[in-house]
Amino acid sequence: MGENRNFSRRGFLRSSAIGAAGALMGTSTLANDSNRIRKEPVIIKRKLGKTDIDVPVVSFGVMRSDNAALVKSAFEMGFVHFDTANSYQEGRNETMLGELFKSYPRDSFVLATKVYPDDIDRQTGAMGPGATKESILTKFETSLKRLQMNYVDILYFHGVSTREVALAPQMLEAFDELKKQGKARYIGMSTHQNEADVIQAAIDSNFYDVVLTAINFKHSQADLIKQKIAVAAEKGIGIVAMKTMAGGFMDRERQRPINCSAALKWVLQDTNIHTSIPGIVAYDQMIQNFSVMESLELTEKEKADLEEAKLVAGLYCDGCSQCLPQCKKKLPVHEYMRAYMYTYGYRHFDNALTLLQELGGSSNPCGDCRVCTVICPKGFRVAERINDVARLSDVPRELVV
Amino acid sequence: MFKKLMMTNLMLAVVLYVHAGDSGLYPQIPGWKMQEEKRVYTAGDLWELIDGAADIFLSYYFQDLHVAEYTSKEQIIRVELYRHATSENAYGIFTAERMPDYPQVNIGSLGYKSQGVVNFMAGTYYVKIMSAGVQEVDESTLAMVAKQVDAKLAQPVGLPDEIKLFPEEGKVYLSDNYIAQNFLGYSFFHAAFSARYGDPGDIQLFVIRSTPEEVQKMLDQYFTMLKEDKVVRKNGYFVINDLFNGTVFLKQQGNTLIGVLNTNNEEVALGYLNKVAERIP
Repeated sequence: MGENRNFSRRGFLRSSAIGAAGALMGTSTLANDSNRIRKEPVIIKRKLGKTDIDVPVVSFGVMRSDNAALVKSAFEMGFVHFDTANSYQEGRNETMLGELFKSYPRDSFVLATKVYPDDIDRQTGAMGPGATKESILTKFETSLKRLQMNYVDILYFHGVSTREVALAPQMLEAFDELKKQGKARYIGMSTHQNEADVIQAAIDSNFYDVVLTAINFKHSQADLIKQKIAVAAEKGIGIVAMKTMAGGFMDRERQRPINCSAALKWVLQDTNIHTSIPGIVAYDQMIQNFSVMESLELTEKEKADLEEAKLVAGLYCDGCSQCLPQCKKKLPVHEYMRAYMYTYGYRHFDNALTLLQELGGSSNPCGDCRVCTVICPKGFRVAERINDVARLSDVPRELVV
Repeated sequence: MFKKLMMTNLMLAVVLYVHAGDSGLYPQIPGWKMQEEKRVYTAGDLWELIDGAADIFLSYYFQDLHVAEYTSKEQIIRVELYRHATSENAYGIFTAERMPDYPQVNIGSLGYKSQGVVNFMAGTYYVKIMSAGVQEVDESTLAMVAKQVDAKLAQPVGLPDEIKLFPEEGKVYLSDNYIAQNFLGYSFFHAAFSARYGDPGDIQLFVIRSTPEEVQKMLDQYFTMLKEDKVVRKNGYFVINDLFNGTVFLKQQGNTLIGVLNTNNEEVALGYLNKVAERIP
């Protein structure tokens, strides 16, 4: 895989941004090493599959930022690839980028955006009659106007969750037309649901140049996704990683942050992953993310931090449904996990109670089962949680609302 | 243990969680059938619906999203109720997505419309009403639904008090907003209200309110981050050379930090600082 290490092309980094960033990080661990912030930072670049795009392994997910000064600083620091979408901030995210980048040479940055058609169920991925080629073309024209550009470097089919949608003929036709018109240099698709199947569809399609996929050290399907990524990369598909920080926190109270540098390194150690787009909203995050390129090797502490975060089972059931065939009582285990999340994560007792009542309302659903046969991929002690939350069924609704 | 925790939680719930369930959120609309399946999204799964756009909602302390659909013949109206922790946060995400050039409508707070869409703010809710289907839903029907949703939510009307601190003269229309976290890209700054001024509207005024001690702490952190020679102390205000954000004029008045960005004209900046300071009760 084409990987090279070089130094920032911009003297700016040494003379200004990092200097200020070093001061910015004055109270952080990074700033404790003043030598570290004075030297030229290493930038590791990888080629995005068979495309001609060669970018740092750390890119900039713009979705959370409406701060043009931050994005500008990132660009001048050495970030090259910026990722947005037609739908972010109802289009204002693209507009902000358009205003910013209009004064820079078009070939000095890589811009990726995403569109999805009208009439698509964002949860199931099912497409209705309104999911037409024209809806893609119209939305993308709007994106180009907002971005004040004649073309984007990567245009993603946004949020694909099924093979059928990935290969829908009218979608492929629309994206192909845009590529032939030169309005999108490369076509990709983004996925954060049913990722393995979707990546396989991209491989089979012989159409997509890039895949943007959710992947992180806590992902319950990480091994499978990485297998598919390897096959896709071997075939020349560029791989971009998102959701690399696994939610950012390991606990339901959001008090115990994940070691983000370690999480990012975990992803980037896989050389089949060509770049990543962590969301950045602050200068210290920007510096921290960029600095992981100094060494992608995980330190012993970082390894320990990731192990700890994995062991903390967390709260969120991602609905993989592997529990269903394992339960002797045939309970909808994942739904009980959702009720547990409503109760302890969000204190939405009404939602939890409604859900429990839909499930039958028993306060002892496990009944006389002595040994739980369910092995949750996320490590949830499901019997314990079910027995815990199901007791809410006995609480009168009047007390809950 | 569970019992104790549960009782505590239930007491909290009685006080804090006033919803009577989904049925209490949605109005019955004559001629329209509300679908049985109503979805609730939380911070853990909002991305399933809106992908990466979820991140910015979370930064405004998103609580949950209630979604319902109404159908009539081949038309669909979809109601999305994004609930945030405070009305300031609802205002923040609303203004982060607001399109100033869309026509305003008198629904909720700051309602506006575009083709097939009516969006407005209502208390802690950011409400999106949108239509889909083979036949386009006419504007009056959409407005009628929006008004009924607003009435059903029965939230207080109005905007955060801090907006009143910004002088109307010279303010760019609908440029006011609220940044909940990482204002100016710095994690030590508390949430800020801001608005744009002048022609072509580049000058940015901002206001951060907290306790006097917290305001002082923010200033200390900011000045520590900057080198000493980047901060010039003037009579009652500061002129700061911020590498990332350019020249920043700052003034502390009690529990309020007032700032001006994007101008190098000290006289102009000072004028704005003083105008805001005069409006602080």
